[in-house]
Amino acid sequence: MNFVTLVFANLGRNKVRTVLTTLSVFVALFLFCSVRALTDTLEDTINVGNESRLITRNKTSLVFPLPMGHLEKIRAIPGVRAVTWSNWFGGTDPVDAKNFYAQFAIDPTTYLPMYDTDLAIVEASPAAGLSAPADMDPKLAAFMNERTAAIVGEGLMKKQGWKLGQTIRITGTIYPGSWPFVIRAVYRPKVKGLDDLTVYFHWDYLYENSNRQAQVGVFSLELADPNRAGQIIRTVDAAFENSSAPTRTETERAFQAGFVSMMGNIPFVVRVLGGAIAFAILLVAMNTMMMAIRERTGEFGVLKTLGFSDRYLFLLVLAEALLITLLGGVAGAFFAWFLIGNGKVSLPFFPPMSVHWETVVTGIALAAFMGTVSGLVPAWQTARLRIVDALRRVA
Amino acid sequence: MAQVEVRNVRKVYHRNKLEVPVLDGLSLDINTGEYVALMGPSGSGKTTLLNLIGGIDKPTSGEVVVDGEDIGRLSTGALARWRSRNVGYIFQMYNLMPVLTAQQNVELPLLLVKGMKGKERKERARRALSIVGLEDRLDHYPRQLSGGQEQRVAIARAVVTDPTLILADEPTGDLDKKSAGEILELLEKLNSGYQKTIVMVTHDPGAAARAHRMVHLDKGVLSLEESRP
Repeated sequence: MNFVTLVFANLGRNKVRTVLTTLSVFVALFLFCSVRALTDTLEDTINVGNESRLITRNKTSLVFPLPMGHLEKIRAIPGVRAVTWSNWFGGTDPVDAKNFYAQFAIDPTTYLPMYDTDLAIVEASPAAGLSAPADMDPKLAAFMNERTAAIVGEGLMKKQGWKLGQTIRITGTIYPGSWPFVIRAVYRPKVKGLDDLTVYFHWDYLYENSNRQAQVGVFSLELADPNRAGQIIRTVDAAFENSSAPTRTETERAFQAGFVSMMGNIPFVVRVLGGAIAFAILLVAMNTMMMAIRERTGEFGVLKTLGFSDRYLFLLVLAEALLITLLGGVAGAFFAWFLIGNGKVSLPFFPPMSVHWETVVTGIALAAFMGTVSGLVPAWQTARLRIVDALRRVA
Repeated sequence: MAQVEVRNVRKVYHRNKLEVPVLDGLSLDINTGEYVALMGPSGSGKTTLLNLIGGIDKPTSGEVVVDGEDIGRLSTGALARWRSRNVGYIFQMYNLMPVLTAQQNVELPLLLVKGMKGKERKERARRALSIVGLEDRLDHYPRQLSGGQEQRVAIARAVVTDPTLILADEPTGDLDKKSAGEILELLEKLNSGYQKTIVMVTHDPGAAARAHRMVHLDKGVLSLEESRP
């Protein structure tokens, strides 16, 4: 028998209470790690935007389109190296409308070279005798030569159980009808925060099959010199100030941040709620520890009579508190890591959530902190206990 | 030669700004190897005197010298170390740790012996339990033992570090007559066979009669001393 045996033996004294306290810390740490995963995802989404790219959208709202006529005017602005455009399709899964995934109509000849830094093509249909444009991944030949072709994120492929070459159908909501798409390529994000749950397809396909009604959702502008972003933003928006569709231009990062803020200040609310829950559970753990120690006052008197020092008993009580919170904390943090893991859970419009190792380590450190705080007061009380007062409790 | 010298000891407790004198200038010598019974009505100061001799409380004034050491002058830490080496304490309610087996309970004081290996601790605990006749109850938890057996484990715990002084606070107060008789025999065996100095607080005249000397306390002072012929 040694110090560790004593610590474990004491934890087994009231198994139900030990299990419930451990569980409460487990829940607190699971929530902490889940909340951190959510806020990390939202922050990653904000940071994914490139500072050397600008996004031009309708000044009134993102939901209003821009006319294609803006394209050439933007292209002509000095300092704009390249322009591409995309449009939100907004279709639903024909089998399960709640099964959400994003679809964008893009102009591949300009979009894919511009976003080559963000997307990697990991799989593509073979295309005998066909080729892709020179500034594009050669694997995209089949996609580029087929109007109904689509590029799908590998996460969505896995989730839906789709195969390369398969024809899928999406029910249009903004553009009604049942739209067939042939999966010709699979992409994987190159940057953190970008999701792999999106379908990209030819904007021309949308345009031609929507009675030429489709317009542009946003223009993406690649800058020759990111330091001139402020000046170019003003120039672009001034160019359309008196048009029927005035624009609002911002850096891609600012656009992403604005997109996230459309959900309200969720990171703040989630953090506050998560913090409040963790704090409440800390109080519960503290109260439980103090109750458990108070019940053993007489026993501590006996141990002191046997010659156990104040320091020994201080460490004993602290170790018990630490062990309970660490057991619950480590289990809670790893359970969150296991459950949410790396991309097992995702929110609509956002990349898959992931519990970073930093979060797990921070969670375990938080559990240790909770253990120390909850054990400190009872440990101090135990150390200060006078033997005769303690023994009076058992007499 | 006196192993325990209590010199003009006063002990005053404070209860809500009220001074409650418990011992009032008490002096007493206890010789090495002596078996002394402390008797007296409730509140006479028996347990307080025992606590002072055992170093678990300090006198308000006066001296308590054990084996030449004025224990009232020791710091809290030094006093804890002194208790672990020199005193074995037996309580009325046994006060075993319910989550530890009999052997582990007896091993407890040995955790404080520096440099002692786990194997030796176990061996010494077994030996102490065999002295009290419980070598077949090593792995039993206190809840699996009778009151008398629990008290015997407590006695084994008190002697496992081989202290010279055993202090017992009404060791038979919670036991039936038969078990009480066994415990008293065990104390006599420790006194006569192992030369332990025993100071026992008791209300039971029968138990006290087994001691070499009976010391009566009343209102914090010695009222009567009787030696066994």
